[in-house]
Amino acid sequence: MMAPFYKFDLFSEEFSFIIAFIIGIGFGFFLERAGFGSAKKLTSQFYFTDMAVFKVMFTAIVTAMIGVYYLSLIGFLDYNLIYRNDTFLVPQIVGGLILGFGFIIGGYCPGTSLVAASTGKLDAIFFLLGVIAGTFGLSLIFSAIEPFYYSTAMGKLNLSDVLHIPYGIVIFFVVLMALGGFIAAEWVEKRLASKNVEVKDEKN
Amino acid sequence: MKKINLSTNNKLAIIALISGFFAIFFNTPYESNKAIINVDELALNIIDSNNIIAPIQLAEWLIQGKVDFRLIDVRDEKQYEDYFITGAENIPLTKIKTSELLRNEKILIYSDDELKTAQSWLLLKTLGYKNILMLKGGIDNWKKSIIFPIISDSKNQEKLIEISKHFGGTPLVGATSEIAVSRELPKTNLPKVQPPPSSGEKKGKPKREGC
Repeated sequence: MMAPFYKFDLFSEEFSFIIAFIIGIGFGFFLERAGFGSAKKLTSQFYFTDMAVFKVMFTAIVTAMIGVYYLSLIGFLDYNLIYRNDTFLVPQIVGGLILGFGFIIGGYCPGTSLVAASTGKLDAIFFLLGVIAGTFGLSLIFSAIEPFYYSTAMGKLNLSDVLHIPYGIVIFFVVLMALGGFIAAEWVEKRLASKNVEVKDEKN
Repeated sequence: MKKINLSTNNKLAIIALISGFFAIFFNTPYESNKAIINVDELALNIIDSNNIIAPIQLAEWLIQGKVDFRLIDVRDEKQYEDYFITGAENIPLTKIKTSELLRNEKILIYSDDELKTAQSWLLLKTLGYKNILMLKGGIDNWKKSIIFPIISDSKNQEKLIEISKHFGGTPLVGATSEIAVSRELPKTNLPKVQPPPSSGEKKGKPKREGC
């Protein structure tokens, strides 16, 4: 076992900030290059005309899942030491809905708004101000919503524990799900693209 | 033969499918109970007696409010509830694997007796904990030498009496027979994260991680 590197003491806390900075810059760079610095591209996900967000997200999930699985299998990575969030089912669903509304209205999610703001997009800078205001607002009312915030606590959950199937099979089905999703996404994109063209043609 | 042209996306999809497929046949690696031992390092660690801490030393650290180490009781919950050394956190051995102890933290462990403490130390070492200290003689020795010390010459051992009393002990001054005095362990049913006697400790909740 060697990884996670920080928890096996391969470098200090100070150095971990430098590494986080480099990884963060790289992450932002590739988000930008994938077109995620554009609110147009991101919101078109919700109208099913461009499924890039879906494809990128699912690709990331599958890549990380397979990587973590095989690295654990060869004994390089101790999965139990990777930080995972606890599940608080109802508050997280509500939080997801709020984030989704914000995403549709504002055109960004928190991460992509930073990417877009760093390229100087004015709407993203305003979006970021909104994020900061929202965070501040939450902190002011936090004591009032705290009981709800920590309700329906379910601890750390894995699909394999919930469904009572071995990890390997879960992994195979998630891969199948992703590949099926990609095929469906491309099909939807093509259909909607041709429809949009037809509409244009009629107008002309 | 017809040449099949595959895009990068197709190739990646095939790689994902193959690795997903083979995952079915492997065991889950996440609950693996294997540990890797660096034999030379472990041998040197065993020879080195600096990682053995006498009860009196620990008592002094606790009184001074030394906070650069974590005191961990590796016995089970019931034993811990009955009695534990002030300031100790309870992480039973069976739960050590999933505990939030960091590999580079300075950790002082104790169990029932010398043997069990040493065994626990070895287990933690094999799990990759770098800086593990053990309490000499375990909690049995702690009780014997701090909580119920037998003091033959009270003049020279005033300091020990003081330390013993600090931890709620009963020094057996001049006692020749051990049966004569009733031995009731002091209550340490204090909140689990209890700050040491002096100096403020900043432990509290574990650090939050993630995005």
